[in-house]
Amino acid sequence: MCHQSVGLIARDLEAAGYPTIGFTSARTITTRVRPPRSVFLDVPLGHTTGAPGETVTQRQILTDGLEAGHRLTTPGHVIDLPYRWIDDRWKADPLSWSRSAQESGSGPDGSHFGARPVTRSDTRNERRSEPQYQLEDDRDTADAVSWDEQCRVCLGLAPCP
Amino acid sequence: MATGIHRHRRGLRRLSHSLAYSCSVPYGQVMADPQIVPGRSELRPADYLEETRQLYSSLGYDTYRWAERTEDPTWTPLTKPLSQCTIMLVGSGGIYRRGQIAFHTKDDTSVRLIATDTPVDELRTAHFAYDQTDARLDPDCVYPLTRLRELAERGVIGGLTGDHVGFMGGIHSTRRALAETAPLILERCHHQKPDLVLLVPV
Repeated sequence: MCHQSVGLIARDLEAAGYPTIGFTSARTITTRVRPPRSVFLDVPLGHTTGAPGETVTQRQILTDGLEAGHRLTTPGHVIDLPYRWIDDRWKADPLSWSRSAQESGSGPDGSHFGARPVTRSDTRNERRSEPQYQLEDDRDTADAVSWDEQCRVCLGLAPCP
Repeated sequence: MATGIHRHRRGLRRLSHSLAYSCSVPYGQVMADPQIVPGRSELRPADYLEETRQLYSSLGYDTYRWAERTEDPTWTPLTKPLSQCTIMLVGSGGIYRRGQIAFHTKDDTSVRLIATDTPVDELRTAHFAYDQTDARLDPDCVYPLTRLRELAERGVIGGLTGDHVGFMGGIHSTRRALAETAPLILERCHHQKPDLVLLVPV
């Protein structure tokens, strides 16, 4: 849904006069909503602009993506960037990719990583209406801010909207 | 996280230098083997429309109705070369900065402003629809602010706007994404006047 939201928002920004380039790692979702300029990286979700710690490759992917997007002249077109994930096993069950599954070789319900499970179980994360802090320290830090006086989105770090 | 080894030692030193007050996240670790390499996969791109349809069907849920646009998008020409473009980053991977209120995951349509000089170790993620392990290890996987700063220093791009946008793109209601989130981002555009908006979904 992220790719859908971003694709639709890109269309709105462009219609308001702001040129956009969008990365995507979900090609079929992107082509369905047709944002103005897209560059596709064929990797598991969670790596739209690269893999952890691979700074040189990340910089090259970003440069390639920006340059390819900049050259586009056809509205709604998607450019495929010349990169791939180290192996293709994740494509057997792309919705279930996780770092731990790739490292351990087994899927979320004990299935073999790289094989499509025979029966599917609901392994999706529950959606919650409370803030989902990455660290407890983040919650404490946010709680310490007086939100009555400060903008909730910018922490006073940037000019308020 | 399984075995991450410190391969790029020089890069790691530079990163750890900015971790003055430090935190529990081991930023800067890399995998034992490169994860992304030059080349093209011999298999077709993953089709998440079909994957989601099959998953929902096997669980007995109604099919999710994906949005579709058949008409061409409005086109605003890029008139400047990349090396003169001031870029604003908009990432939907649930990026917030330490100290800000984190996103909730039930159609949170709000946005967070991320100042352009935000240290990478202050970036956090809150999302439900992707494995955040790698993004939390290295936020540039989904929010390439550090890499953009480097491209600006090298003159590949003209520069960066003063602040950028993070939001949680897993919004089931496209109506709400367009009515609530899009105007907030547009307002930031009016304020920051970027030559180019770089969008990074997850």
